[in-house]
Amino acid sequence: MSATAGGGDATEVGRTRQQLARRLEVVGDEDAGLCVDGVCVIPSTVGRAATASRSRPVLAVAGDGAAVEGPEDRG
Amino acid sequence: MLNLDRATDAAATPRATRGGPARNAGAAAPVGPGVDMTESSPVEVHVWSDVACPWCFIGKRRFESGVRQFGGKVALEYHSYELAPDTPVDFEGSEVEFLAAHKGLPESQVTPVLGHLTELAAAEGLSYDFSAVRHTKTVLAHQAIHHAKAEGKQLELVERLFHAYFEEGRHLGHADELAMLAAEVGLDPDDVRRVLADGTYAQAVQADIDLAREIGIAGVPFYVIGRYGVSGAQSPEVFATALARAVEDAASEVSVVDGATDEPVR
Repeated sequence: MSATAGGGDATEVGRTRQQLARRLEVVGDEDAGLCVDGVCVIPSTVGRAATASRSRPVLAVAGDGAAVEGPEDRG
Repeated sequence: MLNLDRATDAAATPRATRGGPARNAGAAAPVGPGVDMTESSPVEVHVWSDVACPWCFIGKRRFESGVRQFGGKVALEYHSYELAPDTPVDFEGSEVEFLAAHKGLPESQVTPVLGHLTELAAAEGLSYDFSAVRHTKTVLAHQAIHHAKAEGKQLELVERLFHAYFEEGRHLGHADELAMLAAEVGLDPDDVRRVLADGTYAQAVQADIDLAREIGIAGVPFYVIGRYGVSGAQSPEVFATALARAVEDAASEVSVVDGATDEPVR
């Protein structure tokens, strides 16, 4: 699939949009590492482990793992 | 259809060592009750990512491990996501200085976080060097990746650009640099310069970004595996499970469509 190759093939873009815009079930650990708006989150659980083992401070950024909302969440 | 380069190759290795009957190149082991991918299509995976995203490179390695665990064939397509669109092309300063200046984060917090990210990357076999990173706007890099996709070299270029950015301190904001890197994966550097100068793929990059917004993606990496959204650099087990579930879902859908038979259609 090359939905957006070239200037963007309309048919394939539409097909991809239709496939992806359906409701997604978000799976996995909410504390997985994520970059949001130019800032990369060190999840709290990883941070706690690091703090315990290395006494390293961890940047706290709101929204760990909750930065992605499903279409149903956007009203 | 794109093949997952490293992961697909690696996924093939266990099959080759099982000593069982020879399988064709597209074969895969059964992944669940009543599910057999032997002659089925690869699992399509879409990932939104940015070459300047440290978790994306880490996530790439974890995804590749997940594919090895999964054991089946995967078709992976990268989509553009500009993590920090406000970044200037030629930012003079370090990663720490950028985050401090543009994001208002104190250097005393940023420095240890980058150190921690470096350690996490090392656990995945990556050698991050944030002191050498050339922070830049990545929109041209995304256009180059779209060109590579059209030429069947997307995964190779994505890997090369991640390596260049995080491990080599290369400047990915300039067309000439991108053209040189693209040439290393077999693309014509003059073609790369031309499409970047013409903005051939600017609309395609924006379409990816718009699509990310439409489906609610606010952070990267973000993987879409069938009906599952996988947010962040998850563990290989999470990716492997999502891939297996996507196969099971596909088998179920085919069975429902072919309601005249009790057997899954393969």
